[in-house]
Amino acid sequence: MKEKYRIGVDIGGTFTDFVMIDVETSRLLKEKLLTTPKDPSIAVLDGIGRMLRAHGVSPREVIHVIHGTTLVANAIIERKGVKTALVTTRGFRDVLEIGLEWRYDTYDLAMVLPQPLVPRALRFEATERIGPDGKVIKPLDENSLDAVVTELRRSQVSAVGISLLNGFLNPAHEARIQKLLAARLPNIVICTSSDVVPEIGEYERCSTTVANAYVLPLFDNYLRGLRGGLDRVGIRKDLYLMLSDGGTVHESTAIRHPIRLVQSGPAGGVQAATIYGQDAGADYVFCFDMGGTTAKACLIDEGEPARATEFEVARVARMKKGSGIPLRIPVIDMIEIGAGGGSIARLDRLGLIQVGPDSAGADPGPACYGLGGEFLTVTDADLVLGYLDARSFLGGDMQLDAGAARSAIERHIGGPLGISIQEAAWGIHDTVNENMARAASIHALEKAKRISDYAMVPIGGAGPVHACHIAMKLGLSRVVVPVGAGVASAFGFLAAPTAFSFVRGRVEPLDTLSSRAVTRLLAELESEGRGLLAVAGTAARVAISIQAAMRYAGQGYEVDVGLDRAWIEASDKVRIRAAFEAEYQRLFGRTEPAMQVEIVSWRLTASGPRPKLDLKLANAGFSSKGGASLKGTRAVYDAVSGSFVATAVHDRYAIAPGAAFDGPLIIEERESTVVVPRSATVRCNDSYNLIIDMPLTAT
Amino acid sequence: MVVLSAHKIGIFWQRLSGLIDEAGQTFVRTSFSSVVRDNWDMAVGLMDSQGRQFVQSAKSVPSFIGTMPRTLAVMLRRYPRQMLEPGDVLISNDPYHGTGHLNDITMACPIFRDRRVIAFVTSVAHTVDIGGAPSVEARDAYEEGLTIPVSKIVRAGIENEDVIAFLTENLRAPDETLGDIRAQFSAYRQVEQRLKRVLSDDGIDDLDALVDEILRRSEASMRSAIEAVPDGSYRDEIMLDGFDAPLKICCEVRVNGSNIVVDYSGSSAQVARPINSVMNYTISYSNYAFKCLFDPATPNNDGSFRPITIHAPEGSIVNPRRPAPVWARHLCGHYLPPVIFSALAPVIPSRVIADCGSPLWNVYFQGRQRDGRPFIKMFFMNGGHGARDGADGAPCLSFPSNVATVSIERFESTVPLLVTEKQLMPESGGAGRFRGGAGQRLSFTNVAPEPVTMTIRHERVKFPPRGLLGGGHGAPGRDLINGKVIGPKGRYLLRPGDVVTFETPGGGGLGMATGDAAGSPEAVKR
Repeated sequence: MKEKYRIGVDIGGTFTDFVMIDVETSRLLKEKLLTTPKDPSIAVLDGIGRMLRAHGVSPREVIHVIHGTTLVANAIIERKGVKTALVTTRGFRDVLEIGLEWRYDTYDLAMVLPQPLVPRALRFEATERIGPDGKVIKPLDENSLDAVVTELRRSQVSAVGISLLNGFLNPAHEARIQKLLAARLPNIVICTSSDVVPEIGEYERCSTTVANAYVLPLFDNYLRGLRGGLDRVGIRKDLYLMLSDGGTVHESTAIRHPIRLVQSGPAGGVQAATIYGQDAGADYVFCFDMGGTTAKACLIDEGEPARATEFEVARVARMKKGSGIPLRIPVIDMIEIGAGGGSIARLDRLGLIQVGPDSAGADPGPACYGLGGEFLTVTDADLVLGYLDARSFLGGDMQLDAGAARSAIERHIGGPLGISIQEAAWGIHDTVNENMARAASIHALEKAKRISDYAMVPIGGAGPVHACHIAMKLGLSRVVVPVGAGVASAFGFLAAPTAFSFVRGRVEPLDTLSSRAVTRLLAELESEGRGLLAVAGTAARVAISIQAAMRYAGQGYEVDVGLDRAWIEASDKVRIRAAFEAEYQRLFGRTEPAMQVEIVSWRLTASGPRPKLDLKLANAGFSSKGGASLKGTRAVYDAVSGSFVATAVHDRYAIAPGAAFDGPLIIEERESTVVVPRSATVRCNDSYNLIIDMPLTAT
Repeated sequence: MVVLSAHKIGIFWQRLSGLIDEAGQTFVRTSFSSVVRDNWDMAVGLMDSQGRQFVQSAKSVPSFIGTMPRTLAVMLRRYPRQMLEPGDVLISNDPYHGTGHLNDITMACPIFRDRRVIAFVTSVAHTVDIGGAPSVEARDAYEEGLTIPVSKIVRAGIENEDVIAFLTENLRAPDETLGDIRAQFSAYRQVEQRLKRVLSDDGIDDLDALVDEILRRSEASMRSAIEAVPDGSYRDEIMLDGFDAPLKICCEVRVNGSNIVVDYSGSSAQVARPINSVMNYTISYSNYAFKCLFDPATPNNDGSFRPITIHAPEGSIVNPRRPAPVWARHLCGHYLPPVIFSALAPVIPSRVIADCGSPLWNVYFQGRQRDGRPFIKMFFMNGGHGARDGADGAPCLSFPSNVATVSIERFESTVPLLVTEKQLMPESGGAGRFRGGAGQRLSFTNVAPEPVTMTIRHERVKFPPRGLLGGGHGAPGRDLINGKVIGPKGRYLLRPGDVVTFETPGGGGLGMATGDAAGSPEAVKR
């Protein structure tokens, strides 16, 4: 039987989404089930089974399953990881708790700091020391580990992280400790910082290493369960996982560094937006994912999502930088703000409208859910403005209470400010849009990009409702609303290439670059990368890319510079410097010709080809309804005139390729509503994606 | 004139804060000094055409936020608006007009629209070396380094060679300082471009109407919080270790309706040692304390401080006359929030925190790298945080300043010093219903082939951080060389192999301990 189906599964907080694609016909099938929080693999196996049965597909026809999960992030957020210990250099066990000594909120005397994942009683010390040049200053005293072993045994820990000072420069002591502990404590998981994150910065490296150890046993268990389940239903095929940087890896690779899965689901959404954007002919894509509680955004240049090397998980204070657990892992660089459909709107102490960062959640949810919620939310404002319809929310499965929304607006904002309900509703809608636009434009500037060069791809339930108004604030000329935004992450898994990146810290002035040693280092990483991809079956078409983190000597922040391997081998310092300065100039608008340049770390990414997905075929037959798409008209708020205007409402499932409309109009689909403002034009392309061209005047 | 709705004000304010945050990011990412990029010892602010501050970068040292508008006012007396042109940048580090010591350089850049100043972007950054021989022995401000009078470091977009030459010739590490200064120029250009775009997008001519409204609302918010405090006069005093003899700060907080008057009468007279807090710095940290107590959530702006008046007798340690030395003015100024908190503790016990293990501890190391190049490096270390009603104090947290620590690995990679320990001292937090946060012990070994000079100026060695409302005191701090206690203020020579150890003070506890469990150090150990 021929293998021809690829399956993507995304476990979210509420739903587990499934997509299955037939690689011969490109036909795409979808499924959505409630997540089973106790054992998420139950929903996964149930959903896969349903999909196979419904479409008469035999398990043996499956090529592979690609999977993303919130398990890792949730384990840390909910503190449900295993009992974990730390072994570090004598004198430094508290580094993990002391952190940066900085207050993330300048004025809040009641500020709460995150507790470290390993309490003091489980933080142990080994007598040893490696110097800042990587040389051993004090040899490892193996006897000093005897007491540690006794304590580890007594306290019944399941995992240990080993993170020694300067261990990223010389892994010998960490490796030796790992070996000694493993011999005497065979049943515990041991992770070393030189394996997980060999980069400078003892606090962040230690934090990442213990977080990896903390989630590894859980993840291992989960994978085994899932593996067993897939075997039982007859899918004895490879299982792949989505990493936070948007690459997929074989299960055997994922299990070494499960911490790299912490942003697995959102990374899938970005990969999906990449495909949607390409389909619409946009080289620069601004992925905007707005759900119930938060919104995330990411910039994608020519098919490559922006990447970062730092991430913060489990923030104590919502959306406050510095209030979480720092991780050094490759991630897709996303901003997240507390602005979703359920974000709460209120007047602050100054009598100004404030939206978020807190959310009313799903239960009781927004006032208009009619579940007794007192909170005024963005969804309530969207309903009053006519952007949402009380009767067609979630395809009509959920009836919204417009009266409750109006009275919440009147009570919380309209009344106190002495303005009309519609003005107040627009104030809420516009404020949350401003939150997002502000965050997006800061993000773009930080990355030295011009946001107005981008086309927006909104995903998530609330994305298309707000997309056009945000696009106008940002001066974007195009918005692309994809089909199936509701299962975007799972679809993105299928669209992502197999890839793994390695980082190695190695601080060296460019002038004295040891090209032989670096060439050797890169060759080692490359062969390891090729090995991992060979397991994944893509060995033949592996692409290798090399980046150096570079800076002027004396600076503390680096710029990532893509380098040609030939320059390194030939020790071509002029070209390497020129590449750095070109990037620096682009980012900061100047260079420092007199300053020395140094390289801080090397990153090598081995990636397979991006799977080919034909959206046109995948979405073929999407508008199965036929007939006229116009469902009727309703009064919708028009920001330009400041009044309600009778606006056409269309059914997305009846819009066929080639259809075109002029704004204002509303296009409804099951999981979302597209709000198209006046003077914008919409057309449906061959892949059933809506291309909205925006008027280029700000409101 | 544009009439601004509550909705529009919120949106503009957000947009402008975003723009200043971007500028702060640009500065930090392109700076050459560790104090800016690792310790974030800096601030960027935006003022309207009248010099009223209403926005500052998220990563900002609280005292700088307070001093920026005052420094700008002085700058504008020297260079009134009609003497400014587009592309100018003003500079000064005069301690009596700036942040209180020479090491902080304040700059301001006017932003023009239609040949009219519509705003100023200002910034402050710490520079580790400012020439001279800053030391705890300084008897006047002239010994403490180079004073840059209010000057134009950039004239109409062209760098003023004379000012640059003064800096280059007087500083030990001019590349680092000038690198940081130029990094701020880039940040200004960014603000200017973006601000003009925001204004033209929204058809607004200037910021003044918006700022009027922000200040009015912020003032009202602060007033309503003050009104909730019973009228009366609340006093306390706090002892400083001082230099040759202990010093005292007396504080009276008079609450009258929605107004507050703070009076520091009775505080010690200024001393010929670098501990005096200039009026700017005194005002800044006093205001900061009230902001934390009464309206922490409102984004900082000058309006919040209109209800507050501060009196400090001239010639005292909290308002010295020139040329009293001021280099370590934080040794005095950092006591102002705690003494305001303790004065008000009886009436607002659930809002205050007990004393923290501050004034901020730091150390300067100065010497030569193995290749002979000179270095001067600062290292910051914080004490325990004071307890509050409902929670133990956090270990090792910066307050009232907000200076992050630097990574040991990064530190060791730049200077010939090896850190041999950085650990909590669990017993050092004050006892109480809620315990004070632990201080830390750090040791450094000189691994250079020649001696390294070390300068320290530490407080809370004689008088420990106080507990509040019945809580116990935190442990006092200590400084040691090779295990022997040394004086907390002085310059020392570390020979090769010498080990210096610092023990930062623990935070004070809050409330009477009710049983053994709450008072046991196990609570800290968990």
